[in-house]
Amino acid sequence: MPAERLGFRRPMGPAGARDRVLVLPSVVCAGLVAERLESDVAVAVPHQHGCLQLGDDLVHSADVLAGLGANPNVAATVVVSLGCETLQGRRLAESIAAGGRPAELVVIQSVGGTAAATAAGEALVEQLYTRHGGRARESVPASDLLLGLDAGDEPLADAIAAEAARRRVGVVRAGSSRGPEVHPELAAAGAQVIVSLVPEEQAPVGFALCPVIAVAADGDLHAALTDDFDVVPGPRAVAAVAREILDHAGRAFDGEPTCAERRGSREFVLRRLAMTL
Amino acid sequence: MGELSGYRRSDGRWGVRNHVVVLPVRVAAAAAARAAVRGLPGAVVCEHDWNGASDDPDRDTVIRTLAGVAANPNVVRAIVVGVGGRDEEVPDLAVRLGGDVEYLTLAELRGTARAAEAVRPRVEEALRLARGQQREPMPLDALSVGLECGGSDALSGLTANPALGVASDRLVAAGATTILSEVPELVGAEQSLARRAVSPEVGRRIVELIAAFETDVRTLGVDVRGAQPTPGNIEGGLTTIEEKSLGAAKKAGDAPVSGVLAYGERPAVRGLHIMDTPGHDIESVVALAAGGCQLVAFTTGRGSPTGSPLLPVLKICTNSRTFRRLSDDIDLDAGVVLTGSETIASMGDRIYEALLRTAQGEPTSAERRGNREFALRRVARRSAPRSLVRVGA
Repeated sequence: MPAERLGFRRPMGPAGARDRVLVLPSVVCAGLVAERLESDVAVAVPHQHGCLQLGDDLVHSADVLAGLGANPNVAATVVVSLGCETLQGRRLAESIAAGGRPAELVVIQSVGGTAAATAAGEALVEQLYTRHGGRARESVPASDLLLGLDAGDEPLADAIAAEAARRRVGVVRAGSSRGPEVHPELAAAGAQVIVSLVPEEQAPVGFALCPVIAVAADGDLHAALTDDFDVVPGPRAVAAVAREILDHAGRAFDGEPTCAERRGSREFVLRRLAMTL
Repeated sequence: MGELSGYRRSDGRWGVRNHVVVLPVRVAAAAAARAAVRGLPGAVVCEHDWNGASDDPDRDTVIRTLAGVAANPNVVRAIVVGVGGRDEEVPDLAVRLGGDVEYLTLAELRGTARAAEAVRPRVEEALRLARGQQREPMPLDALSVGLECGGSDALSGLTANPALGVASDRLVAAGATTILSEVPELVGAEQSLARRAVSPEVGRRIVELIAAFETDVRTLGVDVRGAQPTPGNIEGGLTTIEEKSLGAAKKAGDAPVSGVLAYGERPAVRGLHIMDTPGHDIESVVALAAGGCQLVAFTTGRGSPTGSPLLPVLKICTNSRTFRRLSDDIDLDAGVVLTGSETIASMGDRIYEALLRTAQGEPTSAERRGNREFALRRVARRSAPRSLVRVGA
């Protein structure tokens, strides 16, 4: 059992399991520019939000997006704003920067449209990565790892938490729900690696910012989708399965690609709490 | 200009584009869909974030919308990729709506990699089918045009929207269909629209539609003014939602209102309709696509670059300043109405002609750029997630 992990050290807080510039659109309309900025060093998370949201729905989206900019897997953030959106990109970039994380802003309506915003964004990605990313992995304490647990209240979830505690690995657990919409919330809470206990009727879903260890349940669907799962528990005791999951999460932290990363499942689902206007 | 050409579908409908669409039913099928079209120009994936929960209160709306999208007349063939189980509701309904649809699942094909391998030759086959089809003379009354606005400003109601209204009236007079969207931006305009209804029943439904929206907003327990008008609208000189609405309704010209449509519903008759869509432009344009529109006219003051994977979206700017700044993202400048070089009527004629040229195949700025935004509306109220629990270390 390794007492140390290999991660990307950050100037503050725990180390990262991945080392990317986050390209974060503040609104659905900025999605194309964000996608065009994706590269070997930058990951974009186009989404359907940011326009005409209200109340707790708006607050939730803004909080989660800002939290992503502080995730240790993120070296720096480029916020792409349209300009007229409800979830103002300027405020989003300011709130990430206020937390001590590097963040820059491109506003499509100000710089002169898609082409100009793409060019400006490319320059910012390169500049931020040069300044804040691209260093080698270093030895970091195992306690730097914060595991995000996308699970219900099944015994395996408790066994994972117990095994993590034994290894001095932190765990952050989702509250009331599970599924891909929980992944950005766990990442906003600082998780670098996510373990997803996938419900029987669902298929595994990867996440753009963190490696996701997909753990199968019983049933025909997951039996058919074995190739898309990292861990298939079968009839083994939960403690043994929990050990395998923690080993796997450790290796994923150190850089081993997960099934989702290998098959290009790098989704971004943000929870919607109310209708848009 | 009365000549038009398009792609005739087997059920008698007409497309103005010939898209091959790969449509994941759930987000878990998106990776297979993307992998299947990699390196195949001409095929498009409609990506969205629905996770397919069977107890999702928005499930029926999502299924209907995705099926309507797959059956849009601009789609020569849709290859629907599900996980398994009830996902088949999407292709089943799409076929009933007249779509040419193939359906594959991750469960049957045993995972993402094999599903992508199985989808790919079907995409190639659909692309061959598309290339083999020719445009034929198309009746103008087969055209259905969405009337949309995004990033409105104080000039929207004075330039681009009334000019689009002129174009809409010409289309309706020629027997075509136009669909006015975005109910939140009709608040305050319901009585004037209801007076134009073809029957008292339609008039009553217009008033009910807008009243239902106001009730929904009250149920949310939040002040609508927190989101409408938007920060961009306010910076653009709009002060209230009513002011925004009276400008927005001008996109529908003076024609009689023939019907009221649910989100993504297809009209039963021709003429001007009102559809229940939100002011969120992308959710609204997706509903217009699901409702069978082949084309969208989109007015903008602040400047929106957005488009659609299914429909050409013709962008019309309310002011010359934004048009100059974002000229690559916008097609027409209606700001010239203010300088007197065009009247509302002559600008309306220019929009009408540009819409017909677009229908003929001329690409819009959004098509040239590759904008293909896609979003599904959700209306169910959900409670905020309980705070995350941090344990250990």
